[in-house]
Amino acid sequence: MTFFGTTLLEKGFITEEKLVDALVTQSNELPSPLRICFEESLLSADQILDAIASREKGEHFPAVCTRLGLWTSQTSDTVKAVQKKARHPLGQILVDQFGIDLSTISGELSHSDAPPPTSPSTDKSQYNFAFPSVSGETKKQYLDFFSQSVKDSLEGGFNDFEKPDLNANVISSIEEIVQQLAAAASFARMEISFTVCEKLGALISAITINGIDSVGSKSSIKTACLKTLDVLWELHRFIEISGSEEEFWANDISRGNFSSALTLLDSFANIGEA
Amino acid sequence: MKNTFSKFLVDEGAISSEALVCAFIKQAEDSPSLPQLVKDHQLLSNSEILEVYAHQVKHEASFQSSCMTLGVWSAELEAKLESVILQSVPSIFKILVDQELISLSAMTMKMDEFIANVLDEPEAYGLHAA
Repeated sequence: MTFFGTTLLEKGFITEEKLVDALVTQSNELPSPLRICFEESLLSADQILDAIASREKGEHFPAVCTRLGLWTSQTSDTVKAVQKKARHPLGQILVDQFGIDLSTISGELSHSDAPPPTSPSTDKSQYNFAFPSVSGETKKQYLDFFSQSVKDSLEGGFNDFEKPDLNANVISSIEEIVQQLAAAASFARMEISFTVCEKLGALISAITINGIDSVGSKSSIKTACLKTLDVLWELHRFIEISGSEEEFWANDISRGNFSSALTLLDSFANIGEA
Repeated sequence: MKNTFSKFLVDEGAISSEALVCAFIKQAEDSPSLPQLVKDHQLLSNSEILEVYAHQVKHEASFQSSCMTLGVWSAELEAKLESVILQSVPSIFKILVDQELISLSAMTMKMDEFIANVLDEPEAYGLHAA
């Protein structure tokens, strides 16, 4: 088994039985292929009724549609895409159903197998964030995790970048916090926050591996990191007020801040080598 | 296409195609999912179910096709599933009435007409005349 659930089992966060329960819950919440075909106008009502009437015993809807030549690769792709978008993150189900603490899981998983990124392409022109429904408790735990003291720690660490005696422990501590934030954002399905954390994490990892001087000027790195932190905190504020990142994304100024921060992070050539 | 009672209801104008599709969607979503049935009736072990999910994630496959690929889908499993599905799937006609897409009396009248048609032309409905 090589998926995220394995790590949860290995870390002892959950029993096999509870993990199965959580995965079944996740499956049950997906819209059916029948609904998707109808609502996305992939098939007409009459085609759907033809398929249902032609169904053999035990035959599933996609199977009978395939047999009748109604199921194309485009149908399959659309159904998968809609289901993928609607799928509640396993982390959220674990928080809601089993009362597992988000910050504990995020801290552990930041060192191993964070859940697969839910963010879209890193090409800025192609950002297409989804704003899935996430429970209030999951959001609350994300906000609690990304507290004022966490922000202050990061800010202090970034300000230390220009110091001549920059301590490796400072970088290591920042790296750990950013990885935890990325994992927490992924769990809470905060796609914009996750994207920003992931980019910031790549820069910090590059600094860890290559040394700050080989990545760029200390001053410009500090500026990029502080600007990125501002964006993350702005996102935090939007999530706190509206419960979603959607209003952040709808705001021209906020979206501009996001683009500027990512442009700055992208300007460090060694990021990709980390 | 089979001459089913639901098709008859649409052909007779008792309900629209769209309303019937909505009822089928409700039926599908009110029915326990395949993983739920497999788990509740212990048709596969927890570790087998986890293997299936892992395969699904990796290959973006359906639960059933992952079961087949991993060799945990058998004729015996399918037979057991069929029997539990029969018990757990809500009736489409009950949904139509509950959703007020057709009244019970109208449904009953149409059922009488449908049965009369079947008796008149059993071959058209896949039956052999007595």
